[in-house]
Amino acid sequence: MNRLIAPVIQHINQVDLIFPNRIDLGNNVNLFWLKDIPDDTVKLDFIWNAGSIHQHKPLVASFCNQLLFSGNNTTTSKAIADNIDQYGGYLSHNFGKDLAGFSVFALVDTIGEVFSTIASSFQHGYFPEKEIAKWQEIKKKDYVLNEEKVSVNARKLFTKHLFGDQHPYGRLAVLEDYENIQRADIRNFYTEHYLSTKPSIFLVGNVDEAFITKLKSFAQLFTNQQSAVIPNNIIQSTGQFYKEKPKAIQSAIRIGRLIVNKKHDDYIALQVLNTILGGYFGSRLMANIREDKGFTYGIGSSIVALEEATYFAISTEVGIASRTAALTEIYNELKRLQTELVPNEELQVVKNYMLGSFLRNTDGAIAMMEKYKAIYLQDLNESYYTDYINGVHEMTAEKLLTVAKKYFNKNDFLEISYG
Amino acid sequence: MIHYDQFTLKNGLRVLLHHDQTTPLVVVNTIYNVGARDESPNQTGFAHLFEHLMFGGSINIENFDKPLQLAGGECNAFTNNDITNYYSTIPANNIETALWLESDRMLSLAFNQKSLDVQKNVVIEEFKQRYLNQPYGDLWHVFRPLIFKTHPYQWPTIGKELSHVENANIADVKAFFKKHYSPQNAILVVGGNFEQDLIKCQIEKWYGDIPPGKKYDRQILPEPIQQAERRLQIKRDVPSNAIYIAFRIGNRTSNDHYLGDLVSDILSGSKSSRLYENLVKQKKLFSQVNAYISSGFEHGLFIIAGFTQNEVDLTDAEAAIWQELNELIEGDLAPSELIKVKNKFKTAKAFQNQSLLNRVMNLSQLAILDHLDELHLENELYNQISSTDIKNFCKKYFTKTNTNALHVISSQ
Repeated sequence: MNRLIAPVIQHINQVDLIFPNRIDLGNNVNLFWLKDIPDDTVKLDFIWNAGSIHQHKPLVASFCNQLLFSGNNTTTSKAIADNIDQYGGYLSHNFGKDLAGFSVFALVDTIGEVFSTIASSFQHGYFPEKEIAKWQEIKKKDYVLNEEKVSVNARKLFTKHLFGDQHPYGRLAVLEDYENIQRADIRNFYTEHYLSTKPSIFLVGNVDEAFITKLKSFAQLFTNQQSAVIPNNIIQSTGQFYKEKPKAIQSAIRIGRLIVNKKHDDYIALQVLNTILGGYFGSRLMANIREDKGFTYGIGSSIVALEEATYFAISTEVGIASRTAALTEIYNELKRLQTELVPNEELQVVKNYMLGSFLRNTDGAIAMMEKYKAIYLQDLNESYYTDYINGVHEMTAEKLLTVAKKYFNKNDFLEISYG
Repeated sequence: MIHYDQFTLKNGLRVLLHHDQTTPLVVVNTIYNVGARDESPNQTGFAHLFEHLMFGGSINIENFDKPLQLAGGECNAFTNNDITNYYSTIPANNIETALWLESDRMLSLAFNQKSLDVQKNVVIEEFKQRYLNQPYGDLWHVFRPLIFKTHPYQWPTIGKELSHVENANIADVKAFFKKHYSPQNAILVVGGNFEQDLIKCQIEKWYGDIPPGKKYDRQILPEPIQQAERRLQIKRDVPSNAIYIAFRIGNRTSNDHYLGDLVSDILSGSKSSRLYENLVKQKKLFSQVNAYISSGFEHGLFIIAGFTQNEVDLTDAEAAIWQELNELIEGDLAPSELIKVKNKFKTAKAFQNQSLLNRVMNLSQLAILDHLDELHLENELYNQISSTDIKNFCKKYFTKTNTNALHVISSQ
């Protein structure tokens, strides 16, 4: 054994993916089911097109989602929570710009009881005033607390200028909006976006047929109206926006731009570029701005795919005195990707890291289901992941240079600093 | 149940193996028996700074992360008051890369001055980002010294102050490594889809020749029993007032850990729990209030923390918390309420155990605590807790004498 010589590395050439079975629950509702798992856990997700993009008034979609199980005039929200808890169940609300829903976690011998409570209280659609008022108070507090944080403020400014305030993605709630939420708004949203559209249901766990029968009966609740299509009028700003916060000791920075979506030929190259630049611990931004200069605790970049837009963003928090120097270095790194070929060794590290990451993110049935959900909900081919693995393997430095030249021009970026 | 094998190398390195053939991965986890409690009061934050330096190159390998990433792996680490833990997750057929890297930095670091200078800056930025530039970020810096008068739990892992991190020098780094980083003071846990016939040889090959080092002899006096209530009020530029109450309880390996865990679940954590229903929804005193335990290896804490609504007097708010605590002592705990928190524990545990990394880290923690029995007993330990046990726990600890209370007043 010679410690100076690294052990021989095996490359990852394929990943075994297991996709769920599709079960028709009737009424055009689909269940996706991964049954064979090595333990007693059950995870059940319900997803609707009920994210913030569908709301006509700020906060309505998120309030509706959070208050789905808030009871009616005979059943309190506490009684509902008690019934779920009694059987060791957990309920989590999921909410995003496009989609919304909830997840249920329980064990195989209690999922039936837990789900019965959830299914019946979901149908209330009542939304008691008292519960709305309580939620308003709580969310107002959160809002005020978040206003103190440079990272949250930078993210908000970024969102606003990335999508423009003509598009629902870019419209941000302000404090007054919390006062203006009406019970009628929430009830209408519930009727239109939960009851009148079909949910997608994802189940991981070894449940019995009796449970599937329960799901079938739940699936009959939903009527078939299509939700309105929202016109695409996203207008991204470019240039610099800097807001000072007196007494702040760090500045939060967000730099980004809209890019092409997952179906575009350049997408995998952009994913590889993103990883090289800021997508892993050894990335260029980390190496330069954290590990060489010590300006920050962390810096990273990411690609976010929404239904109506896909964007690339760099984010960090740096000491106030290092802000300008950090910005210069970030642009230097973008420029380098446009002018120099990525060295072979680095490209190999990134490829292997990405494939290793993919392996980690598909470990276990729940993780596998998440991967499937992504392709189903974003309407991608079932071969999407095999194409991804091959695409990463075959990526060349030349292709990366071409794509970087196309997408990483400084003038196309939006830059926010706050603090 | 989590199964494992264990053996010890000649140099004293304890090894645990947890085989799982359902995953394509392995986790290589190394836990070192050193945390912020082992620091000198004049050099706090050092154990955590040192954790950063462990990524700055070892004696034979210039860069830790690059070869790991080249093998498709990923690594991270954390430090707390009790221990320092490093973990790599890597495709199973590249396990030797992780063993090579981890064993080399157990053998010796490169002790690189540039790495020290840069990591000092990184940690200072971490200090700012997480503790200074966040509303309520520095509370534990003032609350810990109220609770612990002599014990090193009185400082947080990041350190008491920035200057302690700034003043660290390379001689301190070398001395720290010598004292704490050696086979005698570490436990290696490997989990996942390794080759069962080969794994012992692979570990022997990479770790067998590392000098044993000297077993660290920890001599920390326990914090004396608290004799009187302690209170502190501070002003901060934060949007709302807050109350923190900490009661001293037994440590991680005592029964108090399980009792405290269930009591905290009765009080908070769900929309059906008592503090949320009574103090947030009914009395409208708090916008948020939580109860939880900190499971220190030497001393535990039962903590209640809440943000009050505007206009609410903090004395009234605290009185309302006390009313809930007294209800636990004097009132009746419905059998269904106890069953509820036990069932929730069972579900949560089953989901946590799905993750290979969680299982491996749990094994490491229990091994270093010499408490591996808990793996088999855990559900039973929780199941046998009775409402009388709960009541006795509350009666014993929720007293004025055992109270440490911090009131945060908003200056806005």
